Amino acid sequence: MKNDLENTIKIFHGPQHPGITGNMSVELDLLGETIKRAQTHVGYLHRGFEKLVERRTVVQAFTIVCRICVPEPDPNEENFARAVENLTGLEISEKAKYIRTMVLEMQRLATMFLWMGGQAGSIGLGLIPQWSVCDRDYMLDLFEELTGGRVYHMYAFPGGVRRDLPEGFLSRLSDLLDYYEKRIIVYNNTFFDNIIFKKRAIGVGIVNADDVIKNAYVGQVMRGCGIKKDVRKDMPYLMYDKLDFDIPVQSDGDVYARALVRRDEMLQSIKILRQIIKQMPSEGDILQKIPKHRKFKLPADDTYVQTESARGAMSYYMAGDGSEKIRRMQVRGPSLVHAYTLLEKLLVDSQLSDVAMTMNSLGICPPEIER
Amino acid sequence: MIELISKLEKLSLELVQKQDYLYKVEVKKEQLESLLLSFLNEFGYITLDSINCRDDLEEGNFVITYCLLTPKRDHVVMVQTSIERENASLPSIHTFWPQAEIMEREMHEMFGVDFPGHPTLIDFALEYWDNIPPLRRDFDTLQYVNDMNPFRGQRDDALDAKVEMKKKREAKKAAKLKAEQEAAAKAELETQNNPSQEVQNEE
Amino acid sequence: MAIDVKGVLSPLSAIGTLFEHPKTITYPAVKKDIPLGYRGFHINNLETCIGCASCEEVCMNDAIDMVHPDIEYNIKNTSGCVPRIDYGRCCWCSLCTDVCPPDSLKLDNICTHADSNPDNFLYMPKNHKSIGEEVS
Repeated sequence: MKNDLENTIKIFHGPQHPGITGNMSVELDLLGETIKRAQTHVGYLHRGFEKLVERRTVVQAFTIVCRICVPEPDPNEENFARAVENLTGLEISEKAKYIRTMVLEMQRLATMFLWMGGQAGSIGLGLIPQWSVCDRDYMLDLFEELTGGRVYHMYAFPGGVRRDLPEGFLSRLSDLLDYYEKRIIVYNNTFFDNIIFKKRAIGVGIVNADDVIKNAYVGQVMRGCGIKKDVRKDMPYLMYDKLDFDIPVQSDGDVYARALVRRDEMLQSIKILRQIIKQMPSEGDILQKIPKHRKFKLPADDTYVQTESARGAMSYYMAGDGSEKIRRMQVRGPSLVHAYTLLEKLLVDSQLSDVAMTMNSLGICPPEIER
Repeated sequence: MIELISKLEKLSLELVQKQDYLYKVEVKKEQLESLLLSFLNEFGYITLDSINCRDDLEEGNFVITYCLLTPKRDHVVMVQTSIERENASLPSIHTFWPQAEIMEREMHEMFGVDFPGHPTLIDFALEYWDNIPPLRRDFDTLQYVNDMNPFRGQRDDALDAKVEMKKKREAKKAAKLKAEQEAAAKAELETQNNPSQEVQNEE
Repeated sequence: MAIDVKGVLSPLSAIGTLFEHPKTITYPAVKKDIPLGYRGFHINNLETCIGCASCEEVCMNDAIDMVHPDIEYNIKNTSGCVPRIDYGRCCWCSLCTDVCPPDSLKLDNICTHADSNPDNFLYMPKNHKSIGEEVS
């Protein structure tokens, strides 16, 4: 055994590596192709959001939170807006709630398509990323129309949303959902049923169901082990308690099970969006009257909010101090625990070629780890 | 929930409902570790979701919040304690919750809170950082940036709008005053000239 | 071990896409329509801009400077200044347009700027009215 450790080769997987999910690196001790020890390193992307937020007023700070996670900014905005609403007691109208739910679900679909590209690309299926990133762009086109930005929307504001729906938006969304339903059948044929993906993914990166609850693993990692938990059902926010949807689960706990959970969640998102299109109220305020940015004061209190992002529960702790500035905002994304506690454990005794695939299936997003 | 309230009452602690799914209990630092353990072993809150820290510079303490969940994950309990800012130190709980290791490592780097018995209190995101921990509120980000990075100087022609407004108002006032003076002078001149004009007209 | 026939054959259905119409556009010849509400470059109606510096105050990136325009467009401009935006710092959050009291500062849907000189990233918003005239 001692001989083994002496013969290991140390390599850095990342930060400049196409298979890594952002600017982070995994330090690997290899014996042949087998990983004997893995250590996560972050720090290539520290932008200090939590510190910057403390220097700004509420209105100014809201534009920065979406940058905390690039693939899916909207859960961050939703968390921030809901935390401020909790602290100040702002009530938002039903229409604003519906619009925010819709944006979250649209974002979930867009993130899933990007994930599918990463997952397929990491095992060498080069066609799927080209398709799925193209399909994601159709959703970004709709975001561009609705919010004015393709990736960073800056849309959910404490007190509602910033813009009303453009004319004919819901019918265009409905058309896109029809298209997506057809596409998911295509992805089923070419990716999820693909024997290459099955051979690579089944039995790799198995997460133990007993660890999941205690170690606070969230999202698809949890649901891939057969634990049926989702913040949208357990602690419903916005309009989720009025919408009908299921939580897909798989029991194997490996990379393939997590992929199937994600595919089923895409179908559920489409189902939710169809209900929202039907139920969207035509009348209603989109933004409550809020004070000017120098007079928007937070009470000396703290709160904790959770939102189900496309990769798991994302939580914000927020505290005010009676002034217009935010005393403290702490982000707890799903990646923090996944990239450290879970990834370091999963990679031991797996193959070097499976590292990128495992990371993608955990949904690790480095900007969320270091904030 | 009622069970939990009665159990906490025995420890003379109060559970406050903050939001629909959010409860908070405040404890003293000495009670913290035993309370967290009884949350884990007796009350069934076996998931540690996050450890949050906030710097109350004015009161001179750090407020640490542990967010706990049951396996049902249908509500959050925040266990909150405050510790002295100077030589801040907390018992490490990484043996009970493995994910606490990384959260405590981050808190050590960002706030300088010490965790005796923690195995890996190494650098988290900042390498070779020799200033005070950056998320403490006495660390001035703007000052640090100004010290470390030169600014491109091409924006020096920017004007302060308030000063400009004042200037313009004063200029306006001066112009008005000048106009009034000129008008008065003109009127005076006219009254001096008028008799002669009248005389001329009569002629 | 049985061979997964479906897993082998179904990915071959991708060959069918060879006969589909491509989804990409030939960019310089065909341009994508940018919707009306897009957050692109700033435009400012200098004839209604009152120089109140609300945009400068709300901008958390310190991207906005108040400077004198080359000629005075609006006599009622209280400070005689108009905003100029540093596009090295701007994040296009459009808070400046939200707080603008006379609603003169707006975001256009033009969003291309290429220059070798970084000083030219100090962007003077185009005059709104002149853009309208160009279009008509």
